[in-house]
Amino acid sequence: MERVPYTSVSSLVEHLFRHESGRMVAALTRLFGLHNLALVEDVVQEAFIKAFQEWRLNPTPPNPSGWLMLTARNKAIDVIRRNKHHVEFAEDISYLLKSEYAAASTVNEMFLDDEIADSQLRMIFTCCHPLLPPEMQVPLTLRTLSGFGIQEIANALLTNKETINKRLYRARQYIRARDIKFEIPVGRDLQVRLDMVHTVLYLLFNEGYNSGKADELIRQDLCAEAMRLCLFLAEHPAGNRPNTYALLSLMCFHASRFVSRMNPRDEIVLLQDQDRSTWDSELIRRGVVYLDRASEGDEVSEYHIEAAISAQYCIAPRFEDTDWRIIAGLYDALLTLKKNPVVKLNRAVVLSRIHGPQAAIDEIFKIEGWESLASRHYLVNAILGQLYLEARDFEKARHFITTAGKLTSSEPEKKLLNKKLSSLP
Amino acid sequence: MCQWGGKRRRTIDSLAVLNLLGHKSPELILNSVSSFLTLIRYRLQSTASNHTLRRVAMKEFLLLFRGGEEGMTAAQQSPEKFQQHMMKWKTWMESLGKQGKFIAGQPLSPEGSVITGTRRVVTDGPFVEGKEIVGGYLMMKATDLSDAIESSKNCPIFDYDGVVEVREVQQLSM
Repeated sequence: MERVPYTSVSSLVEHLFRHESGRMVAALTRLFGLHNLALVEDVVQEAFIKAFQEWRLNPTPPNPSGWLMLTARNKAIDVIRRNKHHVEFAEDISYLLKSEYAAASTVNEMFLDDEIADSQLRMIFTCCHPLLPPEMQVPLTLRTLSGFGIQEIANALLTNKETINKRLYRARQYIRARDIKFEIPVGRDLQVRLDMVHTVLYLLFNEGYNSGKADELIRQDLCAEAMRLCLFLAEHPAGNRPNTYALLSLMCFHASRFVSRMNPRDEIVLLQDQDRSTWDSELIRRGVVYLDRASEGDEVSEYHIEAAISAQYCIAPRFEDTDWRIIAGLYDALLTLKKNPVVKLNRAVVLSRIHGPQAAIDEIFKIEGWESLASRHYLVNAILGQLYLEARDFEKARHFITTAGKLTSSEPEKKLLNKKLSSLP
Repeated sequence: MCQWGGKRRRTIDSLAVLNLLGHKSPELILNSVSSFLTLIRYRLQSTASNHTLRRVAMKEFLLLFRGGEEGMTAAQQSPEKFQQHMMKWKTWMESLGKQGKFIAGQPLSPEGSVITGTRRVVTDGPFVEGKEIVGGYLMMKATDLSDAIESSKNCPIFDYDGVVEVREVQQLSM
């Protein structure tokens, strides 16, 4: 029998892991219960090991995903039979799993596509549970829903494997200790919990979009995952709220400009210098469609406004055509929802386009606590530096740009700041 | 449904307690400690399970299943038909479970042994005619015999001409 080369099977299995493990974990967790996440991971791992072994010896099955799910299903039944005398499974169905009359039917049912989707949604609500600290929500989401490896998560979040392992371990402890349920919230709870899910997905997206250090491919992966999960949420009756569409729209507009923000030399390309022909028109089109969908209710969230701002940037044929007055108005609206110094900073930059750099500088100095902010964050300094540069006050420009350079650890940001410094007379 | 009912009721209880502690308006408390209440609500949700909410005196019954094997064997020839049939068992048991009536239930293998007499003579089965063999059992709770009988009528064994015997657990007084 001819052996398939190690690498091709291994990369197929790896690829499938990323795509199928989230579904598998969700279905198995629905069966075993959140308190048995370790058992869930064992079964997932066993299924993939079996795939790896079999496919090296035999031809790959025509539907590898289906094969994997079937294998996981059969392993689940084995695990239930082996452990039923000392393990309680998911609270609402444990008694069915313990009866031979009902076990196989119950397991089969939970592996139907609709049920898997339902379980994935439960998993989203679990990973983004308000009782889990934020630093655990993102790694848990990436691990259980997106099939990221520990090293991948560590790379994406700019930390090391040990930290991620520790956080995942503690997340599982939290889930048990706080008795977090594997469920889709209903009624008044649903709105609160959806807000939390949006926050985590937005965080996940920004982690990819704004991270200065992580590898470009990983960053794209993070954004793609955030968008995939958001779309999944939008397509489910429990999640298809205007807010979800607004967030999805925002992500589409941002992502459309993803590649144009950096040049091949790993340097940041500013909005005015970006090649608009490289913007992804399909994503922009989708952004518009989703923003339209988001307007169906009478609710206006920060995602609505941020999407609208991003839309304004995206639909301008040239930088000079950007409608700064509309954008400034949107920032004013955003400020009523989100009184946040970063919003005020961004608003000031927009004002500089209308009223000139000095007006913007004055606005920034009006931000409460701007000095303490400036002592910690490079962004305030970078913006002030740029504004003073435009105002031709080169001494102050040099001061703020130099400070900004000291406060950022991102290489591309540093390059950009140095470029500005060297342009000073 | 039970979970939600239980949860709401408990939340109001905790509000009443806070009121007793000197707070005046429940709305005021709700506003000021809303995040705290969210926490409490999740806690209560987990403690109020389906079973603790219903404490009606129930009796125990054993259902013995006999016969229906021929039909089952025929169904097993078609995996699809067999799956459909087993899904009916699952649905039936689930409905018992949701009413808090299900205790346990298993199908039995037709082979086995009989041990008899003071000398514990062991004979291999089958011990009785095919139709008489107990093919499975189910322990359940019900308010009385007629309640248990009503539940038994939905047993899928009747699709294949099987028989259900309903027996109440006897309390032995000494």
